[in-house]
Amino acid sequence: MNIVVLVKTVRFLQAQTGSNPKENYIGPGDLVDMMNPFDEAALEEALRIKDEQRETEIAVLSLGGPSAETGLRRSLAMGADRATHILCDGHEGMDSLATARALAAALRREQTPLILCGSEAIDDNAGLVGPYVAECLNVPHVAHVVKVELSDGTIHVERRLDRGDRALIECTAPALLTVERDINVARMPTMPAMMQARKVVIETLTLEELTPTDTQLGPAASLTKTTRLSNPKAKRRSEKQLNPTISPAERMKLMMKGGGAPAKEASSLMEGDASNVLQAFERVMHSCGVSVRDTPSD
Amino acid sequence: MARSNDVWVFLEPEDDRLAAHTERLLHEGKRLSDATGGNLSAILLGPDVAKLNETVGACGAERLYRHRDARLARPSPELCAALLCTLARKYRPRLLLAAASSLGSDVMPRVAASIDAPLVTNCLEVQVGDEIAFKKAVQSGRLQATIAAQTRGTCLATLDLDALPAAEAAVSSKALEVCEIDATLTDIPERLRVTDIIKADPKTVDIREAEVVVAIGNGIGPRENLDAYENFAALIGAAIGGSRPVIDSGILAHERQVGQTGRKISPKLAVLCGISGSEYFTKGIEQARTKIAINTDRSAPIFKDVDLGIVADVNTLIPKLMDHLNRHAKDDAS
Repeated sequence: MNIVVLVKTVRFLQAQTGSNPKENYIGPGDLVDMMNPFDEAALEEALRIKDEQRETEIAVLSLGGPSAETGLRRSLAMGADRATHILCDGHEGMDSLATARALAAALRREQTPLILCGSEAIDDNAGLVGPYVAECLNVPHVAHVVKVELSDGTIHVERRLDRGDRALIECTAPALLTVERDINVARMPTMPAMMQARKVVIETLTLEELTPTDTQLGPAASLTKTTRLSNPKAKRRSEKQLNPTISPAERMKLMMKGGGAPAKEASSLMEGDASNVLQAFERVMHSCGVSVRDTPSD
Repeated sequence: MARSNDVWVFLEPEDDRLAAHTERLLHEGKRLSDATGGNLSAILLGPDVAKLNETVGACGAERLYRHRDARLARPSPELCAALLCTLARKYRPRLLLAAASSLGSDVMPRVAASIDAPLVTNCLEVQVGDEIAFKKAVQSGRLQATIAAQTRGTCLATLDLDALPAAEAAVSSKALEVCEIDATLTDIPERLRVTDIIKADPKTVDIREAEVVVAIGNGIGPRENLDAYENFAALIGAAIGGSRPVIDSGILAHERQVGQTGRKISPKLAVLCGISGSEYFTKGIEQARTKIAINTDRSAPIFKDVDLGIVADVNTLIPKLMDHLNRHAKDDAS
């Protein structure tokens, strides 16, 4: 089963070393171009399938400006067979839907049975391009996949649900899967492979070449627009109540231990292990919906 | 163009009840429908659940849409999406909201792509003004983005459950109109087949996904005492985690470390046993909804930000607590 992996080169804010709050404390060197780790996990999953079935061909596809080459060349170094770049300078103005439409237009040129991508990108955290591409191509998709197994054209996956639960789902190809970052540990490309990858010719397409006459591709197809970026509000810290009755030496000792204030209210701090304490524990436990489990009798 | 200013909320079942987040989600929907000047409607797909009409009505909704086909007993994202699309195309509400739960996050992108509507996921806030804008965490939490919808049509959003304010008191006892959705499910193709649902095993689940966590620290003493905590965790269906010293001394594996250099957990209940509460540890439990701490030192910083603090020797408290809980569980059962 041939595979296409959708790869995004993200511009990730790996640190905030600046001093200007108006610029969200972003300093030079804070924004780094890198292959989206979730997409890297998707590619690794494809490579593991190829390790088992050697005739599998893996193509990687990216939409973006010149920096998209970063992810594509890394993918080639990791073991992808070929790479396609939809070169689009206005790509920052393209939201998930516009991006998905363009990717789908490229994917329609070949009927690939399996499309993989990461469940989200670490810069926009939208998690939408995968599902949108599947809908554009009218193929079934499963998101948040933590395990993939192929057998005779049937795709078996394990999908992450809330609270640690898992769903076992089956579908037939063609299909699209979005994978979780921790589905595997991606292989490191070797130095020779990275150097070899620099020489590979990447197929480059433009939006104009892909645009059918009846639809819009590109920034004009976006239905959302990011208008502002701000820093998260600092979490409300519980008020430090300075106890005036302790000596400076004791206060120093307290602060060195990492604290500085005694418990906020006497009523929320209980003492000992008498039945009133046990009952209070039980009450709080039940108020969270937690109860004693039925233990199987041995 | 939206046909109305109505706000619609997609509800989810949880076994035979409404999901725990339902009231908070409905209250947010009510707040937003007041802001848009429209009405609040709710949708529940699947068999009846306990207290459905009361809960929805009490939150100020005008209408409840239902589809009771047996095929919806196990929530199917494909069927749910198809039904939501039918409704959205017919009534064109201003806002269609869902929780950013695994079902909500699965259903909404399918709807958005199908009806060509903007969708913003994991919203911290929805702002209604001249246009509708959404706030969400980006850059993996380092920044917040304000995203404006570029359309006057229906807008979709999934709401981050941790950011939803607590449910308020019942709003109204308005008569709730219940409408059956007129659609035959046999026309809707289902290309995904769910063969099994595997419930999380607290013994093996990743502590970041665990609903309940018992975290142990230096206060538990030597490693021989671990058994007692494993039994306690098993009793309340909790996963075990630990502070850094406990991992460093080999009592627990490193995947169980809670803290700044370990894993950040967000259980609905965290029981902190013999943990002093240094900043490096508490960074890992900031998102825990309810915290109980047990420590012999009443000035331990862990007590600063917990819902219940108990000054006691955790090694003598835990066996007594297990006895107490077991006895009461038997009483309730008999």
